[in-house]
Amino acid sequence: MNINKYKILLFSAFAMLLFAGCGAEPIFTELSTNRLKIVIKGTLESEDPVTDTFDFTPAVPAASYADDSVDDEKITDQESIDNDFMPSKFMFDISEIKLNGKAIGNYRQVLTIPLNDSEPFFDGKGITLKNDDPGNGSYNTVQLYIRKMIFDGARIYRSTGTVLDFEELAQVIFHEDDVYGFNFNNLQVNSYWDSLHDNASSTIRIYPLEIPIIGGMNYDRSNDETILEIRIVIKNFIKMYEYDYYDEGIFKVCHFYGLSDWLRDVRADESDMGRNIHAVARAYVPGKTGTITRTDVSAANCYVMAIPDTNEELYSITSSGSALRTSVGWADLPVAPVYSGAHIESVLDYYCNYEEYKYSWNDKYDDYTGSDPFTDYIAAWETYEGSVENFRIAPYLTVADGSGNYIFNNVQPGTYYIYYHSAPLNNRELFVGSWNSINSETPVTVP
Amino acid sequence: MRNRLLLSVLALMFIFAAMDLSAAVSRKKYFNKPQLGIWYGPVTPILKTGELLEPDMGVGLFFRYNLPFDSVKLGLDTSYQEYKSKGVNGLTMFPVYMNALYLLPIDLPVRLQGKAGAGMCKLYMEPDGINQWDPMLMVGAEVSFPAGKLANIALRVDYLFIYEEYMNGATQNGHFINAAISLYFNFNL
Repeated sequence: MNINKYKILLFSAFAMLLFAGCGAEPIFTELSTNRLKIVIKGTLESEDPVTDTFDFTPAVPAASYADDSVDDEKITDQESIDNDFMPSKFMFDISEIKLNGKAIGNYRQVLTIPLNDSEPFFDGKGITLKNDDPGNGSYNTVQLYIRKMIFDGARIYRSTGTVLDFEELAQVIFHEDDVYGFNFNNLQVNSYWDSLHDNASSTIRIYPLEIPIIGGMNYDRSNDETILEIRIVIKNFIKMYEYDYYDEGIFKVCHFYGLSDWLRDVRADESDMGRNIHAVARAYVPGKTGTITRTDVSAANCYVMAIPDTNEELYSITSSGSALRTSVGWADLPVAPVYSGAHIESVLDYYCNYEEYKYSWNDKYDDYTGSDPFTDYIAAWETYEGSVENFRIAPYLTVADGSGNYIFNNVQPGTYYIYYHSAPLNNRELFVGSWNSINSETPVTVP
Repeated sequence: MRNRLLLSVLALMFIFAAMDLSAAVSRKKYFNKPQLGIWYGPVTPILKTGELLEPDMGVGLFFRYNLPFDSVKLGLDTSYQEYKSKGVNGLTMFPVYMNALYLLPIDLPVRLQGKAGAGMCKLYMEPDGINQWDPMLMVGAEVSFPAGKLANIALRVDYLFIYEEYMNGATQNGHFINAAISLYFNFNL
């Protein structure tokens, strides 16, 4: 009996030990709580998106928004060019969200957004994504895994031998259904620069889309809510492109809509569209933010940005994307035609195109004056890539009014430097040339 | 012929009665030995917890020791349970608890036990990285039968209550059902 008492005491002491050192975080409450709210917007501006230049009127023929890579001859030869209209909706399919490479959401989110100024995606309010919370810590990048990005309005034309006739609206599978449109996600790789590398086959530019959180995000569970705002430049940034192919020996052209090639210029007969998706993220804790309200006459009607450092050169490129591409010079060789099947028409086309390709290639190579073409070829494309790869969008960006008044709301505490860009922005273009400093000597500190 | 049938029925009745009698003796016998066992089976979050986490499979280990009272034993139970959610949240649980087991005085070839206990539960939540011990309570039931002199096989169902509402800002506790098949061994300690 005494032995048994001893054993009972031993068990009890063990149980008491277990009760020592309880945790202080309510895990089941935490599991049911969503403290990190991710808001996604399709606008360049963080405040008051521009509306006057939003050319999504379906009645507007799209020819004027066609990229210069669209082959003019083919367009003017066809009778139905006036049938090309700007798209009316944007569809995208997000499969996963990560912060610094750590998953915080694997909910499939399928969004169909009318291209309209009053949509939350385009009016500055944004759309809230579904996600779980990360652990406490500091995060610098958010990865958005986008399965598809589709604009409707894509049209297929077929060659009759002399002209291109409208055949049908292009269709694509979106959210398990056939929809009218073209998924331009697959084409978001960098022409040449990506394909020349050993790892070209595994290079992915959009899955995930790596988005910098400028100023970083310090996530702390003690804050009831933290907002992570992601902006992808969609509004005023849509262009029409052309995708050529053969279907059972018949030459066909698909006119589709994608994001502007302002940064990485797309040339005729290229199907790759470059990495032309521009996105930025910023984070703030509601209730722990400030406001920057200023009047700077010099910035009247100009774009104004507030950034947490003085690296304003990252927010523009030195000359237009088209000019940067041209500067590649002789190394920007023509695209080789693709052998397209056993039909006599397409085979004959292929050989004709191949002769043309050889002629263009030799013509380009004639411009070469060095002694080591392989090394010089690599160097030319590396220089090009260096001039475009670091471009980014400002975390706080708006347009000052005619008197130079502007305001930034929900600004994360910190020191900011304010710049303005002297030239108002054109549609489908971003910032070329230097930003002008407004207060590089006097940083704005948000309390 | 009628006599043979009657004799057969009587013989069967006698055999069944004898079996039950020997089972009763054996039940008491093996219940009074220290036991070590393992269990494996579905672990299911229920009530509000069921809206947060998905069911999975769990595995556990237990040890039971005699008390001076014939029908009651003390047990130490521990297990490993990993739960995923529809999102990226995940919870790993490592409950460690003591329980008292009571042999129900029901005369059946199988043994029925009720149990209740308390202890601590180690919790690790991802991706938040919260790692801590919480107090817990449990109640459960078990039906078992001997598989030879050394081993027993049992079906068990336990309800685990992870207590968190005493913490600041907490709005709910954890609720889980552990159902399992278990195998355990008798020791002559």
